[in-house]
Amino acid sequence: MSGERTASKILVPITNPIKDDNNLRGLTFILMTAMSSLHNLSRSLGCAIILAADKKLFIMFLGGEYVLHFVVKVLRDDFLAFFQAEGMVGVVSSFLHHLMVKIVVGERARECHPSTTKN
Amino acid sequence: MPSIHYKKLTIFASSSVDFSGNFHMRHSYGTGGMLFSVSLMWAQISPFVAFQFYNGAHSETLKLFLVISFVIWTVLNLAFVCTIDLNYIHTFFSTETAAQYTVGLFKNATDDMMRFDAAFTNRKSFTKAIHGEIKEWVRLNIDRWRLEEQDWFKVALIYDEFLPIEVYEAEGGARRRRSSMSFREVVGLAAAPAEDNNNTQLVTTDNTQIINQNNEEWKRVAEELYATRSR
Repeated sequence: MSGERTASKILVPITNPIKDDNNLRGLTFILMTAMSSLHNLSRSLGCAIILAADKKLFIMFLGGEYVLHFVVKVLRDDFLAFFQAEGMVGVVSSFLHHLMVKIVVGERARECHPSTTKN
Repeated sequence: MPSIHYKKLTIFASSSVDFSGNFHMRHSYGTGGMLFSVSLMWAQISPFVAFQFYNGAHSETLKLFLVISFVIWTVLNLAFVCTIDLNYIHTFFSTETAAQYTVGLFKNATDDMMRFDAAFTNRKSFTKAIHGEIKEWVRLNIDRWRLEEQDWFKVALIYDEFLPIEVYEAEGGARRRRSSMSFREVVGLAAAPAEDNNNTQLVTTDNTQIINQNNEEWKRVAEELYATRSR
């Protein structure tokens, strides 16, 4: 469907910065994997160090990060998620949505296999 | 419907992407580019902040390890930037909100399908700034869409106040039932809502009659042409 192709072209700027070249794609994948590993390592190490120092501090540390994330979203009038749920359902589902996204971004590997970002 | 790619990354999909990566999350419907990058940076800075509170054993070794890890991470990031298409680099620092992105999606769309998707499959408040523009666009095109019966056109998705009064009445007026997202859709278990078929039944019936009439007309012309050439 020609419309779908058009849609993909518009989506590319957001989802896919990887060049359309086999060698570069492979290299980018390796780099992403390494970056993700280091990210997870840093994140885990940071949590472990703060936990070793003070458990209450750990909760403040992590909680503060999440609260700040939501405060920024609310202050920028960007809290409600795209799906068309209104009222309290909309607020709760948007909260869960942003929480999931934040957890995925913050606590997990962040880069993607090039084949999954290829439109 | 070829909706925005990000929408496909609903909760379950997100979980499956989790271990392979989540580049998509920097989308305006996710964290946004700037918050994504800040989160990345914070993951590297936080161990050093945490280290300030640490008084345990092997602190020097730990510090050295953290520094080396940070240096390698920085080098890898620089290498990564060198390998990607730099036209996309702004997506890592974008401060665009979901509403701004949706308005941009509508304004920059190259066809009606994309505009329709931007206008009617997102939260209504996202397009508040251009509601007048959308209403006018619907008024000018809805007759053609009803005739063409494209897959993407679902009259049930259009908000009542965006419909011309005659279409609104034809759709059932105040009794008209708009399509909304089900829980199954939100979590990515269902495709297009089934009720759309019922809601568009009136329009479909009208259109089918018009199309049948057109087909009959063409048949008649073709038969006349064939008869003329056969003589």
